[in-house]
Amino acid sequence: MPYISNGQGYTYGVKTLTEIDSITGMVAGETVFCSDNFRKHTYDGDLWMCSDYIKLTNQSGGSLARKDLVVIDTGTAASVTTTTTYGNDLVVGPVAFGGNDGDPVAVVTFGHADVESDSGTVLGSVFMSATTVKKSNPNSLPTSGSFAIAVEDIVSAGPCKSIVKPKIEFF
Amino acid sequence: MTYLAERFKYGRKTKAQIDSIPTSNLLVGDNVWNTDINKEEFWTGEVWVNDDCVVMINNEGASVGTGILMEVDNSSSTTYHTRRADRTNSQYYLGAVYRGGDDGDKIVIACKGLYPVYFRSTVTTTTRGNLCRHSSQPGEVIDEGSKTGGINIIGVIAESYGTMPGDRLVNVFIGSKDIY
Repeated sequence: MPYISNGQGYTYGVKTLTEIDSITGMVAGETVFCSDNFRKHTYDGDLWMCSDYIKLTNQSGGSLARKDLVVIDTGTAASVTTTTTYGNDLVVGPVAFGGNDGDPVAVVTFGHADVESDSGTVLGSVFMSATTVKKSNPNSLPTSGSFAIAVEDIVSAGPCKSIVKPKIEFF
Repeated sequence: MTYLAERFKYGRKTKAQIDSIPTSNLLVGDNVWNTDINKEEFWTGEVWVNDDCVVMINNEGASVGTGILMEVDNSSSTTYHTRRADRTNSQYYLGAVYRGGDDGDKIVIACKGLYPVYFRSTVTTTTRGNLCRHSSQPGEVIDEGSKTGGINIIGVIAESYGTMPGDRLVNVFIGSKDIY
């Protein structure tokens, strides 16, 4: 049964992303505040969404999970797929809320997010798509295809806290 | 069937009023409507943040105020450390401080949207529509003087000033930095 807590107005109160994953029985329009990325999320009937995410269809041929890196699928409108191309210019970002092939998924395009790095990472590294599917590769110097910057050191491959950066550019 | 209209626990307030709310009263997730920027803001447990901003830790060694450009501090190994942006370190650039703080404090950095940015003391006027460039002075910007530009552009100036305001803050539409 949903609740309104602390007078804040969120249907499901304050939760981490993992806790949000465990919520069941949602109705479109219900809300929760995510303490991991400091964003109000609204359930749209398919996914939990917030202003940091874009909703696209998974056309990768398999399931997508949180932190999986996706790129634009050039063969299907409003869709994403995976890549093994280093520094793919079509990168969108890491998945926030995943789904099976053909399902809608929420992809992070801005803000605090964990990225699945394919190697140890130095704080300040810029992430690009890796040659390992769904992974991200850290680089000391960016080229086109960069999508996030690491804000922590990690000693080996695994999740790395990052800031996914907006792509508004001026010429 | 009844419904609950959108509501803000702390109502509608200016940024100054929001920043004056005693923090001992606040709970994670509390919300307020910021009338200066027309955005909903949320209490993280330490700072008020909105959807254009990220939260980092000031590692400058001194306080940083509104409008100062900041970058990820790659000289540190501490998660979320940030410092004044140096234009030679373009790849680490984040945005402009919206809520500053002392060294070691959590601060709020605007990475996109319309926000005040600090203009260098040498700037005497600004022209709306001109590009805004990260200057050689860390954390500070100048008017590019044109609507086209190259590297180190951080946004578009939104206000014209014949005489700069005393706080040297001018609203800029902030975007990602051209680093190529």
